[in-house]
Amino acid sequence: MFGVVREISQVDRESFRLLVDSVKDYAIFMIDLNGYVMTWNDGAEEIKGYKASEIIGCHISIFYTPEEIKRNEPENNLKQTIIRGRFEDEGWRVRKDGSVFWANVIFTALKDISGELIGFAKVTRDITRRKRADEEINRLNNELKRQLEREKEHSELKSRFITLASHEFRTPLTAILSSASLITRYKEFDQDPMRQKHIDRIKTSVHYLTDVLDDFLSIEKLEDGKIEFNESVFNLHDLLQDTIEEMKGMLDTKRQQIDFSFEGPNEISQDKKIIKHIILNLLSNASKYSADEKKIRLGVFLNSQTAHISVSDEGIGIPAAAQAHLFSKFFRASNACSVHGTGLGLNIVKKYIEVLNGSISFSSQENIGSTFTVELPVSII
Amino acid sequence: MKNILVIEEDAFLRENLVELLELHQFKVIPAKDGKTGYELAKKKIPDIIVCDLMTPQSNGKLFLDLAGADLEIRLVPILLFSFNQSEPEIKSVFKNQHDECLKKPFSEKKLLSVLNKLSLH
Repeated sequence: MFGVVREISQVDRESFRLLVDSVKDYAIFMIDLNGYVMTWNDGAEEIKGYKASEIIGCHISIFYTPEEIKRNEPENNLKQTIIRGRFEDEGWRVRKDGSVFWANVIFTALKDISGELIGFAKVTRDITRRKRADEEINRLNNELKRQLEREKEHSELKSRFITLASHEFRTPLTAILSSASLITRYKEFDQDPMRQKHIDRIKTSVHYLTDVLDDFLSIEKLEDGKIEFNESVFNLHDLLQDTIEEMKGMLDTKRQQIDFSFEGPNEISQDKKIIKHIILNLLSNASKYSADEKKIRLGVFLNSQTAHISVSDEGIGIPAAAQAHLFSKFFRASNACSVHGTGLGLNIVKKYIEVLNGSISFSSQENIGSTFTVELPVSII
Repeated sequence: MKNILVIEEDAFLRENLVELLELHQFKVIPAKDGKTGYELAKKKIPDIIVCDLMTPQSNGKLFLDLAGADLEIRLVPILLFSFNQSEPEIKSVFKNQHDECLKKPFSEKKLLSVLNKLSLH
């Protein structure tokens, strides 16, 4: 009876050995108590590159990367296996030729009939391709998320634009239409001032509509990173003087004045068009958000590295609660509702200033006024 | 001469409407928002009210809420600057059956024809 059992067991063991040996996709081998390789199958040779004759008797640390050896991973893996009976891990492993592969590793503690630990079985799979595929999926996923985010922003911008076009555009259009109607009614020679008033209104309304359109186009370009600067050397003092001239119409209606002071050399190497846009925007804000006859100050101080440009007004100011959001897209402060605007101006200004490697800051007190300070390098690159 | 209250936030348009309507023999009371509009309506009880609903700054909605609750003002025919009369939101704010809607931008001719229709009531 006893002999039969042993016979079956021997057959089993032999067929089991043959089975293990012929497995190609898995490295299956045994390790002694001290971590030395005892057996080696075809799969192990395939995956790790060692022949059985080369590797049997070597310590398993040969399969680990130097960093893992430094962290005592081989010993730790065996200790974990002793504690749990089975230990699974994933990580980089080293082939004979020094190349690495991403491995799924399962250690199993081997015990004899009495429960005494006699060694370890180790099964290793090369899952580099799965790992790379996972990474690729992750990368694509993130890319997709980013694109979706951008798409969302675009569609938000578009729906904002539609709302704006249907609400904010219709009022200036009605003003234009009614001014045109009125002009045709003022036929007498002495009614010229009336005609002129309505011609000016039409012009102002058209400018407003154009500005809003331009803002939407700029923001889309800025957000797509499509704005490039165009650096040239020019006279900053003259540019600012021209910009103030351009503001005249707007200032005259509110009987406001700009105090302009300039200190330092006149020339800088920057983007003329963008700077003009920035200053025009800040000055027109100063005018829009100030009462009639208030003073606006444009001060420039230039040294060898930086141009400090500040625009101060005596206007309605920015409520403390609104200050943190001031540069956000579509944001309008609670006290700004009576003034037309899209909430895009300062968002665009800030983005433009970043394109020019500059910075913008402000200080403001409600009902006292605001000061915006722009710092720009005297040359962009 | 009919008294007409005009609630429009945009300064250019408000002034243009005053000019235009005065040329057509209306006596115009301008108001820059719903709140001022209601106060003036209370004081002067106009024959017609024109109220902008298209720009949120006008706060025409506030005017309609206040006017709707006011027994005297709710009888005054009203012209709303708004998108579409059939919008449920607009329908619900109408006080009278003969109230009218006009979408910006509108011509002088269109505006007057609607106002003339309203002044018959």
